[in-house]
Amino acid sequence: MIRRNILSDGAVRQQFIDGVLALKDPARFPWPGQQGLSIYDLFVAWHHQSMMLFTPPTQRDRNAAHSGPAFLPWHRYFLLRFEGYLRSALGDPDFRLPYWDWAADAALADPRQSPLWTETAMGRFTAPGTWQVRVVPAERGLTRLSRPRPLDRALGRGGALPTRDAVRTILRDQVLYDAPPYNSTSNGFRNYLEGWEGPARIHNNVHVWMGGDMTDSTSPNDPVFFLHHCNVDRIWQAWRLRYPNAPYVPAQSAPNTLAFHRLDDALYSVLREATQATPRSVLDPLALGPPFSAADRYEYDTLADLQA
Amino acid sequence: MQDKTKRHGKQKAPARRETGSRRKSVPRAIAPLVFDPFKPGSEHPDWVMKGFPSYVEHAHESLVRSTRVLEHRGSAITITTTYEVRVDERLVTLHMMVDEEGRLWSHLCPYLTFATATELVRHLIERMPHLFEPARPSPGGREDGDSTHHGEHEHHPTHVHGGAR
Repeated sequence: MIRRNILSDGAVRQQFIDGVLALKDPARFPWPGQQGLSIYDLFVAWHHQSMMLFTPPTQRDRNAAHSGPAFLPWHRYFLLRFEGYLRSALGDPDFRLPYWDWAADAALADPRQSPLWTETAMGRFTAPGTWQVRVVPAERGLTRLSRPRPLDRALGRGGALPTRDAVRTILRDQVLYDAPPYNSTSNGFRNYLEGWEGPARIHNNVHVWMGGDMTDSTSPNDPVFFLHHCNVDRIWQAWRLRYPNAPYVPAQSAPNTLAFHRLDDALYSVLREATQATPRSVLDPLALGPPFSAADRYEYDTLADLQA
Repeated sequence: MQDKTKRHGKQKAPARRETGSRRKSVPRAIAPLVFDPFKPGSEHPDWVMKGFPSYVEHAHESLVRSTRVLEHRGSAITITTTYEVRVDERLVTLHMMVDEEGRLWSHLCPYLTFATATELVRHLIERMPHLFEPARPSPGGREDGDSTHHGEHEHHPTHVHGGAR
């Protein structure tokens, strides 16, 4: 099954919108034990909680899903499970997440004029009657807003969308997946794509360019989060195909101070998995390991723009 | 403020597919584990709480204290930075940390770094005003920060704190 560009497939775009609206509805997809909250809100909380877990707690950089090797596999896992819920909401076993090719928009004279932000696409989510933010960061955890508020965006007020050349540069130059000390100071593809290293600050810069809720630890409050990370995942897949012999690191023999990030470590999860997802289990989208099945496999409509 | 760097075709018309009417079976989505990110001590699922107790029990208060260990020409440099920030006289921690380059960040807004604590606090006041609202006593005499019940909020101002230790 194919993950497609959201701007080139109107049917998938509409399915994505319909699906996230369904998952956001507590009456249709309730978060068990959290009255008035939905499965969508659970994904927001899951992302936030992963960020609050320093791995290990003796340092203040790497957390369970960011600033470390697990950044890419953890988000692939997160997207796979969100995609599964969307399939349930849509009743469509063939549905796959679309991606936002933000490098294409970076080439526009004004990226804010991209069709992505129109009322028939992702622009609709800033309408207060359509979408409300319910879960936001607190000083020491998460807060439920007793009066949910509209989604906040500030497109283009900070940051910049990464260009195609910038993405191609890291795909060409970064031949190792990651490197010690496996944090935000590391060399390697993961850290350049995540955006702590390199002038383009690839992934991070998209969060900053969008502004508003996308800059918070609860950034999945904006459904564009999933389109953005789907594109990040596409870039990782292009890199894997370019360097098929470059292993995921660290291996399982690495010190346990790298727990949550080693090849066979359980990825931080709040779901009742039969088998815990690991980096190894998600390395190949066409041959996903347990807990995933053939029904979860996917590939991208194109990687050609990433191969120059 | 700046974005955090080193802590260092033509559009087709939408053609709506009918949803929910397909005959193929859809595998069940995976159910959530029991965890409550709004309740102190229950923020993570059991497998994390039991498997990594030291990871989940760190004191948030210590986050205002950052220690950087650097090396320069063979000398080990240790720099410890401690911030005490009060907003309207109330002590706040805000998860403030200092990266290797001496810039401030907070995982409340993880993609940004700030040159000064003033910039960071200003950003959070504008972006997350709920963090700075004084907690009001609930009918039971407790602060909102102790409340973990979310069904009714009529007596609350605009939010319910969660995760306080």
